[in-house]
This record gives sequence, C-alpha cells and structure tokens, in this order.
Amino acid sequence: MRFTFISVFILGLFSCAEKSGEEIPSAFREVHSYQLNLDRFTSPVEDYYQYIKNWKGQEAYAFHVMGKEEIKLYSLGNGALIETVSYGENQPNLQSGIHDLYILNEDSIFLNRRRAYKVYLINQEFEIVKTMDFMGGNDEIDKNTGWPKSKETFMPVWSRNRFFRKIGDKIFISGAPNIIASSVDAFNTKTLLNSYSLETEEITPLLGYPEKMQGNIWGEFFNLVFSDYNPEEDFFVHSYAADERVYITDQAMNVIHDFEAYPKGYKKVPPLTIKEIENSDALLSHWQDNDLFGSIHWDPYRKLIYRIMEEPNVDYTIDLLRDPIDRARNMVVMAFDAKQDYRKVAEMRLKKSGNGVYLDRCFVNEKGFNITYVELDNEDKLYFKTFLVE
Amino acid sequence: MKKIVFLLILQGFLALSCSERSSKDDITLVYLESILTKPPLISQSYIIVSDYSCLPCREAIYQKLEDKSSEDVYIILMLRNKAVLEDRFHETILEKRLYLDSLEINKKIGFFASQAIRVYYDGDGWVNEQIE
Repeated sequence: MRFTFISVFILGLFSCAEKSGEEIPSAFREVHSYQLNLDRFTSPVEDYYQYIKNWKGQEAYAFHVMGKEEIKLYSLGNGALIETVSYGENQPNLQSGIHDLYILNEDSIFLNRRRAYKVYLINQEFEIVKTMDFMGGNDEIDKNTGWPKSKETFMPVWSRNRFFRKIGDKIFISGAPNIIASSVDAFNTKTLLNSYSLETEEITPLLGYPEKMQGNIWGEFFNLVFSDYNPEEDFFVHSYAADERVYITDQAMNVIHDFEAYPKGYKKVPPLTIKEIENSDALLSHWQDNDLFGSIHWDPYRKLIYRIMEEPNVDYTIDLLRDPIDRARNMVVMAFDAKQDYRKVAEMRLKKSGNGVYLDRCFVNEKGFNITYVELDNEDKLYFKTFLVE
Repeated sequence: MKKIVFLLILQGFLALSCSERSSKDDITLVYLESILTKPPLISQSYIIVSDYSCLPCREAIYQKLEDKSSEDVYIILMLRNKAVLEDRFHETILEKRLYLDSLEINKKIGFFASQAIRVYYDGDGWVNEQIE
C-alpha cells in the first residue's frame, strides 16, 4: 500500500511538465478597466461576440443576441449602446438560425447559419451580397446523423475563440468536422481551419492536429484549436486545447516555428479512456479535471503572444456545465515575447470568486490585453480588465 | 388461506402508499410546486425544458408554445437570456401557460433537466417522460 502511494506520488511528479526553477522576468499588471452598460436584451454571457476597433468612429464590442436576430454594439469608450443592427427584421431570409457573426466593417457583416452550412455576407442595407455554401452541390444530409454524408464537408463555426478572418481575397474559417469526436478519425481531419476563395468559391481544408494528437481520442472538449493572425508579418498562431506547444504557421499552415507554452504546475492531458468515451459523466469529469488550453492572441503593439489555460475545475456540478458562468474555472494567462524567441515573459493566475468570474473572452488593443469579467450579482454590466506586461 | 389473502392485500396497500409517498417526495413534483406556487393539477400536463438544451430540441418546443398549439403548461429553466424569452412569450406568460425560472429555483433544490420532460398524471401516479 505504502509502495503504491509512493509510486503514484513519483509518477505524479514525472507527469507534471513544470520546468523547475523557471524564471519569469516580468509580471502582468492591471492598468485599466472597461465597463459596458448592457441593455435588457444583452446577456453578459452571449455566445457570439466580437471586439471591433472602429465602428463609426468608436472602439466597440458587439454581441449577437440570438432569438432577437439583432447585433448590439456597445462603445468601449463610455459603455453605452451605440447601435442595434436588426438584421432579422430587415432581411426576410435571415429571420432565424443565425449563430456566429463577424463584422468586417459597417458595410460588411458575415452571418453564419450553421445548420444550413451557409455563411451570408450582408451590407448596411441588409442586402445579402454573397452566400457562401459550405456543403458541396452533390452532398446531402444523412437523415440518421443529421450531418452531411461527405466526410470532406465541415460545419463552419467560429464562436468560442475559433477563427474567422478575411485575408486578401480569402476567408479563413474554422470548421467542425462531420465526424463524431469520440473516434480516432476525428483527429485525422484537416478541416480545423479552411480557406474560402471569394473569387472562385474554392474551399481548401488547411489545418489538422499535430502528429502527437493523432491516433488518440480527445473528445469534443479537447478537440478545439484556437488561432490568431499577424497581418504585418503574415503568420498565424495556433493553440490546441490538449497540446502544451504553440505553433506558428504560414497561410498554407506550414509550421514555421513551435515552442513550449505552458504554465507552472501544468499536467499533460491524457487522451480519453474507453470508460470516458462510453460514460457521459466520466467524459465530463475528464473535461473538468484536466488543464485545458484556451485562446491565443497576437499583440501587434508589444509583439507578444498571450495564451490562456484554464486550470482543473475544483468546484462544479455536472448538470450545470452548459452555463458559461457555472463552468468558469481559475485561469492562467501567459505572455511570450516574439523578440526573445518566444520566451515566456509573464504569467498570472486569475481566480474565480463568489463575486465574479473571469472568462476566456479576450481581445488586444492599444491599452493592453483585455479579459472579460462578469459580476455574479449584476447581469446588466460587463467588464473587461486590461493587463500589461511590466 | 385467509392469512395469505390478508398479507397480499396488506402488501398491495403498503406498495400503493409507498408509491404515493414517493410521488409526493419526487423532486420533479417539488420543483413544479415551487414554480407554480401550488401543487400541480392532475388534469394538467407540464413540459419542463432547459434553455441550454440543444437548439433544435428546444426550438421545436418553443415553436409549439409560440403557435399556442398545445394545452400544456411550460416551465423553462437555466435561462440563457431572460429578456429575450419574456419578449418572445409575453402573452403566454400572462396567460400562466409559461413560467420562467428566473430565480433559479432548480439550482436551489437540485433539480436539473438536460433533456426536456413531460410530467403528467396517468391515473396511478405522476409520470416523468423524456421528450425526444
């Protein structure tokens, strides 16, 4: 018994990926805070949101209020509602089923009708100027699964920090493969990130999983990849939920560089066991009991990469995990310096409390790295806490 | 023989009263009573649905509620966005055919429903039936 305990303890030490004696030269400091005064229809935990550098002259934050078919734009300057874009009321073909949004500018808003496998581009007159079809002409929905029959088809999705961006004459867009996440096949896909040519309408699957993740099953909670793009130097950065490394790629997703990017105390996430695949409670526990990497952000002002990791959830109720507030975890934020060969230069831990929670919904602006904070007893306010590495 | 019959009758009585007692203590009925602020009616069927259940699943139910094509009473718990639901189902809420659990009573009593359920009395007791 004693031997077993000691063995487990030693194994635990070895499975921990922490670099002993790691020196972190700088620290994050909170330098600013934004407060949005939400109207009665905007929930602080809307699923679809976006930071917008310039909306009619103001720095803004947008929410898609599903059910109302409206986009609400709030000023980051004074927290007030700037405008409500009522696309459902003004465009009869978009009155339901829209999920993700991407605002390119006032005259170009992309709206994703996921289950139709279509992304619409509307202008400020609410006219549909382009319909992007992500289900091939010969493909059809399998009535048994509800998914397209072709395994090449993917569902366009870019909520939860996944990726959508117009780069040149292409759209780069995250995709969820039409393969059940509890199978090995799901981790051989190349449709995690895809390009769509606005000229030719050609769709090219580009990004798959690192070799070390292939051949195992990671499930629906560790199958995500988060990405950002640096337009000045034309490279992407990618953070996989179950991989401690960060990858820098070109537009064709060739890896240019990769580096270790995990916090002190990080423990490698094991792939799913048969028990976890077959038992939904065990699957949820695997999700909650392990470190989970999250979003990644390129900071063009300071040449830094920020990466989020959520620590194991110490206090959760399985039946409440669908609610972003209830499933919020303590979070570690790391900064890596591109000028120092992506060395880690700062790390901080943000704890949830009885007063409020931090959420992995972040953006970079001139002021710094901004992280969403929700007060638990005030659903009419939403905060962004701004941090700088000093 | 008489003893056996008596024992069988006694057993049946005990089983019946046990079933009745367990129904009264059933967390679904406790939840319904908390939301309705009165015991559920045996002549009424109730639908309980989470606003976090899958979109097509809940939308099929919301559509029936919106069309007023159902005589059921609805309870929506785990609200994503209370104001949007209040706005959409304003009339139905006034008619007391829909209750929104905005006080999160379900969390307080530990009642959860990841799939929509229909609760009704079938003559022998209350039945919880999952809606596909």
